[in-house]
Amino acid sequence: MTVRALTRIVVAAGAAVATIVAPVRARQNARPSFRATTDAVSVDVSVQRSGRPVANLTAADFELRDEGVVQTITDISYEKMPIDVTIAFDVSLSVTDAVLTQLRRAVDDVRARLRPGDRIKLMTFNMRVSRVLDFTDRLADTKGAFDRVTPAGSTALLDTVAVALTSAAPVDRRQLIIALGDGQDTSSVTSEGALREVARRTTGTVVFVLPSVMMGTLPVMSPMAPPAASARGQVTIVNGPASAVALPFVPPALRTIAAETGGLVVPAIGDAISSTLTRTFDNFRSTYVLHYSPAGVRASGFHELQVRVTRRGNYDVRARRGYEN
Amino acid sequence: MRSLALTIACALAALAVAGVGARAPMQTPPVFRGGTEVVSVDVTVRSNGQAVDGLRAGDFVVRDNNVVQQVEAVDASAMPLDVTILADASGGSSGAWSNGTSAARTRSLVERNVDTIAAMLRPEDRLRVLAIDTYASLVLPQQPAHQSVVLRSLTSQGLSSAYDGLIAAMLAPVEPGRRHLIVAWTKAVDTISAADAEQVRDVARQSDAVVHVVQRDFAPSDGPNPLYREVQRTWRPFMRDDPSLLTDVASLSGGTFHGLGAFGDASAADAFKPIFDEFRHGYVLRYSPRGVSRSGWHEIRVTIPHLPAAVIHARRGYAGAAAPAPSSSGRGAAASSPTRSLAETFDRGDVPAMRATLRSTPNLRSVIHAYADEGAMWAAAPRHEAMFVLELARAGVLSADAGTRDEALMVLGRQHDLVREPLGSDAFECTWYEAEAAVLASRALAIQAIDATTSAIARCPDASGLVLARAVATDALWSTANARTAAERAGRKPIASPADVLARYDEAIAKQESAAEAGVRSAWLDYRIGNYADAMARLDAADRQPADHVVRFFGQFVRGQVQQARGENDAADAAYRSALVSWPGAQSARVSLMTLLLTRGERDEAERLAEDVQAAPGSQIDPWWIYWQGAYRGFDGLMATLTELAR
Repeated sequence: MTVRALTRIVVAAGAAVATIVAPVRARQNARPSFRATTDAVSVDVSVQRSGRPVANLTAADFELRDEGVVQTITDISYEKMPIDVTIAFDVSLSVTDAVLTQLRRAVDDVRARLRPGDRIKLMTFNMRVSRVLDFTDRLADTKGAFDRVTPAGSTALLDTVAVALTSAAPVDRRQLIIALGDGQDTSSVTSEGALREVARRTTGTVVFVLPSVMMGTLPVMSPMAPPAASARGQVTIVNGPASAVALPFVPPALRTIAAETGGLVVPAIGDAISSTLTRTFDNFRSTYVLHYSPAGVRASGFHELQVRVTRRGNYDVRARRGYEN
Repeated sequence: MRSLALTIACALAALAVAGVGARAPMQTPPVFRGGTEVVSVDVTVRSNGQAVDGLRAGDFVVRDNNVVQQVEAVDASAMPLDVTILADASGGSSGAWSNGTSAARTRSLVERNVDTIAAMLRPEDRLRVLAIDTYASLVLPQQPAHQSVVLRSLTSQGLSSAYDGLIAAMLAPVEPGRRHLIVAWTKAVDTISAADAEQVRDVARQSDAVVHVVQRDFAPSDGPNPLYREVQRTWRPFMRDDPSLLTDVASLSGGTFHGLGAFGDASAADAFKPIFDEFRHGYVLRYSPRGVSRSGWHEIRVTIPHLPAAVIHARRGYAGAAAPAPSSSGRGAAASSPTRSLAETFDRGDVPAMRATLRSTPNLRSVIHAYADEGAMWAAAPRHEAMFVLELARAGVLSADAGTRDEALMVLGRQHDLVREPLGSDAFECTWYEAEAAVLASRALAIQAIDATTSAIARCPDASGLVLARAVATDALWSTANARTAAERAGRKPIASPADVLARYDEAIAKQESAAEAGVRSAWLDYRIGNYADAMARLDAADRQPADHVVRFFGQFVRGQVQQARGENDAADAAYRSALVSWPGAQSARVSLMTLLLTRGERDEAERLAEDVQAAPGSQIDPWWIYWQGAYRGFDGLMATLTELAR
């Protein structure tokens, strides 16, 4: 059996959490596309302290449990593996020209951060899920990728994430999926539960970036999926001094899916789309990849993961919650 | 000349109150029968008091705007007749305009006369009866002349809507190959009509019917009618008795006026006989107008050179073609306005070009607003107008701009009222409502759609498309409300419940044409509220192979969703694949199958499906994307039907 589990961590800027032990997620793969060898699991782990990535940790600094059983970490890497980043952008009616302009700048900025070997893929979604540009390391190809976008239609956010996660993922690359939109879903056929199952069986880390300028521009509508699977969004006005801003209410389904993959939901306030995207990408790069061969655990079923840093101090550790074998 | 639109709008207001509908959309332009290039004119010829038979086309000289036309004559005696009796029942036994006749006696009189008149007609002729009272009403829908006559309720409440009744009678379109004769048996006094005398004349000029007026006797009452007293508290009824109106109406339409004394009050049937005989011995002259402009008012003059003393009755003229006509509002001067340009494109029948223009118009709101301000563009062809409004409103409601949507809804709502046939709904009206429902088919417009379809169903209870559209809109309303956060829902009155929605779907299931789609949609609702067993039962009860391939796809796809929720993954797999056979490439079915396969460990095919979804060409459409637009997909077909019906 070829098994790979990834633990991914993305920490919001400014977070200072005294978490030593964090749930970790891995994933199953009985697929040749997995980057580990037989019976090997890879877990992406992000470690931050006072909001900054912590470097220079070794395998001895981590304790990793698979189904509660401590595992032997056979290899560790940091910022070494090439990254495949997918940016999926909401082009439903909620998008304005101003947001599109910000998006183009954001894509340029992310592209500038790519290293040799990294690749970028661009998708758009309204009710239709489309690939604008397939994975490429020819960064010039991203120029003008969104020039012909015409905002229209409803939103199939969960379908888009499901498709992006299910897409073939090379075993020797890390996968980051950034879904950028107002967080509403009005036409997906994928329920939250179904998407959670997809997340447990795939390797991508999903980050939802919700620009505040896109929030509240459409009436709240139910998705096609059952109520329990609703991905609903709403603007919450923070009362306060004159500088009070509209913060997006994060739909619970997005938090669930992001957490399942070791990702996050990140509001982008004002015109901070570009800086939010680049910070998200930088944090994703500053992630450890732990490798181990599962021992003392059953072969099949869902494996819950826990990862902690054994050094003294307060660390914010994030990884996926587990993997389906 | 006052605009016909105004006439119709005024008539509408009164007739709507009467519950008989209001304005009757006339056919494109009324005097053109069998196409826009042929004018038909009813002519009767009398000499020495006798009808003149045996005339041929060469005997007549017809001038259209003083230009002699090449005429073809048809012996009218062979053409079937549509006869409308307009019976004045206004004035109670002691009303202000009573003739001392009780309501019961009036009713008896009308019934007897109608029976007698019906007996004079031939089997191929048809008869209908309108009554004038406080409101105009249809008391006998058009039926074969020899079918037994059963009049609906005939009242005598005291006031008179004679003008509205005349307009309602004259607005009825005349079918090609038939002639329309109206016998208005009226007191010629009007007290409450929305239309005024000049508007009645306007309609008479443009109507295709020949109107004969028989004046009823009436005398001042010996005491005020109770209703009159009541009405007087807030409004003083008119006392219109334009002395020349009835003469003008008859003359303009090619008929004659029979004043008091010509016939007794009890002899409407006697009055009809000579009218009928004369009409039977008439001619229908046809010609294709040459040497005259297509639009505007056309004056017609008919002479018979070798019978200079003959008395010839023919209509005085007709209104021109369906091209946007200059109206009294002055809109005609705005020849370069975007609205006018759109109208011209629509007139050419180039709907794709019109839609493209609407999509690219930078300020659609102002275009719709201008149209709303300027009023009717096709005064002589209201059905043409009604169809134009559908196209205009459809573009507007799809706009991202709320102001544009509001303008579009306003125009559409106004037309919703105007499209009503005064004498009861017909196929055009009901189809127009279905097209309106298609325009409003969207979750964002659910409330408007429910209002419009509810009103339309009252007029067209058999229209399954309307019943289904209302159910879908109710579903959309519920699902939208259900999607609100708890905070938003707090304090709001529930506007619909799943039970409400299912009841609406059940109404649509009861109608054969909408049963399959309503069954699938109701199953999808049961699925969404977690009633998987009920959902499955509804799917099993619905037709599995409906002719509509969109409904077939919906059924298979929803079946897959329900089965997957029930853990029947093999069956769900098969259902999704069936859906993909029905609609190859449908994204919804591909995504659902993809997630199902992934959870079953079949990664290779799941990855292939993910690739197929992302790489699908822009032309690939998924019917699921318009699930909430229910009737939307039928819009083009409905417009095609309306085009046929408007001819």
